[in-house]
Amino acid sequence: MPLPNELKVDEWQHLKMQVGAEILKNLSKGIYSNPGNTIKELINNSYDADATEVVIRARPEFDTITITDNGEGMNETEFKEDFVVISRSRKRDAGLYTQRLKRPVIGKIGIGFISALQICDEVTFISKKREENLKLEAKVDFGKFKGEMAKKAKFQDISDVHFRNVPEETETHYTMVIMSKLGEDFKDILSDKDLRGIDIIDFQGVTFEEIADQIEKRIGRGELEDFTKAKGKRAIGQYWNMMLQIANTVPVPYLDNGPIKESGKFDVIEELKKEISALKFDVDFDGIHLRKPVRFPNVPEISEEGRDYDVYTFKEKYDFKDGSNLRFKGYIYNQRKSILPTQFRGIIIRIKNVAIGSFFPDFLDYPYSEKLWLPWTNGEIYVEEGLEEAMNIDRNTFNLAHPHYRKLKNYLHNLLHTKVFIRVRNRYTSRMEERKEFEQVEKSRLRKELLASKFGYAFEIKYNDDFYPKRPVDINTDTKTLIIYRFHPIFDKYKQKKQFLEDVLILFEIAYSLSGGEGKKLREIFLDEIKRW
Amino acid sequence: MSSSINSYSQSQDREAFNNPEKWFVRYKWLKHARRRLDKVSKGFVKFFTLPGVECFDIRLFKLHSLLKTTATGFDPESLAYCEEIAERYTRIGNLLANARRFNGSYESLVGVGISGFTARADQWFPFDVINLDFSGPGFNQPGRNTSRTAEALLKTFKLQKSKRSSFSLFITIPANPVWNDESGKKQLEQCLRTNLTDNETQEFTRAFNDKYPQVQQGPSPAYQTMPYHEFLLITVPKLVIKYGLDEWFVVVCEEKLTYVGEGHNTRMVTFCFECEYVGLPNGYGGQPQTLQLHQYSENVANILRTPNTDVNQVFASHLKLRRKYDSIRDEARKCYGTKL
Repeated sequence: MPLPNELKVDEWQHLKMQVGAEILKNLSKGIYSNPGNTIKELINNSYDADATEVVIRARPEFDTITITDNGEGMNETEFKEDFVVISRSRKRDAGLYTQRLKRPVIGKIGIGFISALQICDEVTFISKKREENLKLEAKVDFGKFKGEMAKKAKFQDISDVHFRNVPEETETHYTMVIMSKLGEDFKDILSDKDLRGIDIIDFQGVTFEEIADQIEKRIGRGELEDFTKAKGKRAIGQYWNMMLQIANTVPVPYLDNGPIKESGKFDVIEELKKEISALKFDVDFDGIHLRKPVRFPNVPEISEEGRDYDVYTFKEKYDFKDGSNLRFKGYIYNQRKSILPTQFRGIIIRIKNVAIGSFFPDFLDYPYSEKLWLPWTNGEIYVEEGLEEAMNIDRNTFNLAHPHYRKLKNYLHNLLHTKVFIRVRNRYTSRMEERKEFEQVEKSRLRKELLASKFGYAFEIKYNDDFYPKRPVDINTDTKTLIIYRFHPIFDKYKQKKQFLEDVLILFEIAYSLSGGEGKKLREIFLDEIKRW
Repeated sequence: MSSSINSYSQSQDREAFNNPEKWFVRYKWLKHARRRLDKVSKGFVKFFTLPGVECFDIRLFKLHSLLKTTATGFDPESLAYCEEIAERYTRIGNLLANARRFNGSYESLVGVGISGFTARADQWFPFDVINLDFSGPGFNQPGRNTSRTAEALLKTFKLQKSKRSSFSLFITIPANPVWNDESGKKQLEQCLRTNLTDNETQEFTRAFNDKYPQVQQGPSPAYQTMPYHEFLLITVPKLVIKYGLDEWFVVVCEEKLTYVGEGHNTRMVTFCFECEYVGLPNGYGGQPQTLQLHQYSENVANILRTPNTDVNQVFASHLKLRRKYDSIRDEARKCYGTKL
């Protein structure tokens, strides 16, 4: 490998970038399945480069997307090592932590950069490494090779690369990725051209905190359920949806009162918040400084912990026979109704602070029968050690048979089954009983009002437990009493609609009393009461 | 291989555009942009510029509330720019969130060399203030009869006319005969010669011949027989006024400035034009042509009446003023790399 002083300066050179066919195939299932993942991967590259600031510009034209960071930068030698043949990455050669800020390294095979080929034909890469006096400029042309992707060669050419070293005397260090010739489909998606007759909710010109507030208000008013689907004639645009998804997955801080509004009560959550803030990783996305958008509870009717929602925190460590360890911590949030927006339902797994995929709504294939309560649940697991080997190359899914993954999954399922959902069931039952009691009192009040309005004086309502009563309901105008015989066989037949039947029979008895037993009059009064009831 | 990636030193780039002479010029731009703001009713100007990496003109306009901003940057309606070099384009974008931007030259933006306009230009125009601060060579296009820059100016008037919109136009170019190629110089020369023989501009001809007798008498072109920056200070306004006339604009050249920026060798020339649309709403004329021609003759004659401001001389004779702009430069250094 040539030393920096042997590098050619100010002279354009050429190479072809190759990628292992199997990698390309696997990538197409994960990173390539969502264009926003490309930006996420590039942000993760910046994080791995010890950047503290990332600036992304896409709006308003979506003509180019530029990503600049103040990370350690890359020189020609490193660029070639990482990108000439993409099948491995040197990122982890230096150890599991970055050199300067000692961040846990995320990257595995340098695929973040080539994921750009999904959304554009051309990438300009400019990087200046700390304390070196050359900057590297490379122009990567994917366009020419896109049609040839289907070839079955072991390694496929994916781009022409022209690069050169240019003297730069400044002490700066940075990397710029300029994606140009963006795919028309991608531009159309971001511009919401596919949505016809829908008013796009646009958050232009407001801060991330304000966006989060607006979303919360809309959810509270029943105007928003899902980031990607219209509610009525209004929907959040694809650009904003992409930004929110990215914000949720990269290592940016939480909103001040997120992820749980009263998180001060929970040590593990406070610890997580402090750790993420300490990363000092700022992402400026079109002037908006990203924060993790999750903040619960997010609707007015969910307010009281214990009654409306519960939070469970955990911190675990497991040793494996092969000497490896699995360390993780996190929380589960469960509320008494479905979580909105739907994108926030599920569990998100972050390895070294970076999300793998997004929320898994099925909680890693939860096997028990309480699936009804999964949409009421959200959670985050921060894996501090282990699990990385279980991550598939698409960086969005896991190898289901890996012992770390199985351990984590079983822990999660056990927590949900034996703790979270038991509590949900108890909460549900007690709420049902409370509701039943309330309904009973309310029913009684309404019945008394009805009787008073018909007979002109107040009635008492009594329940009789005789087993063989003559009638199911009786009105005694002398004693001013309404008696309901709870064990009359007629109620056995309509257990589910017992209250309904009681009401009908009370109306019948009122009609009978007021008609003096005259059949025609009884019928008129009864039908009239039923109509008004 | 495309040569669109050019090397440049960031620190040099910053200093290149941060000198007291340039700040003097920027404050002239500010004066005219404020006048334009008074003429438009929306409370901000739609501004197009070719900013350097530190976007000093945008900083100045923002400071004086000429632009519409939001909590996250600019309102795209208020600010647009283009920059050809990818690295500069990215650096500028990092400072200016949500402004409209184009990674290419002004000439490609407006559609030089194609019939009609580009879709992007059609969408972006009109602007209230257009600042064409060509830091590189102007009027250069080897092998062509007309300069791309001149054609871009003509397209600018056509685009503004298509939206029936008056505007302020600032043009800055280096007065370096080596940089400005023969075709561009010939085009300006042609424009000058036409006026010198035009009955409608006799007053201009008289004043010009009095000042530059050698041009009329000698066989050599004017750009060889008179100081080159003076040649530009006369011919560029003439060309712009002519283009304006063709597209139903009354164009007045309000300022003509020349300067050599501190630490530089190249003399620059800057012009401030006020361009008022006098055509009908359908874009096909308005004032009687005789009246417009009269205004044209007046405005051409005014080119010589409008004094050339040599910023270096102004500073030499007003040291206090020089110190004021020195301190503005020093203040501007504190803004390097900060987002707007």
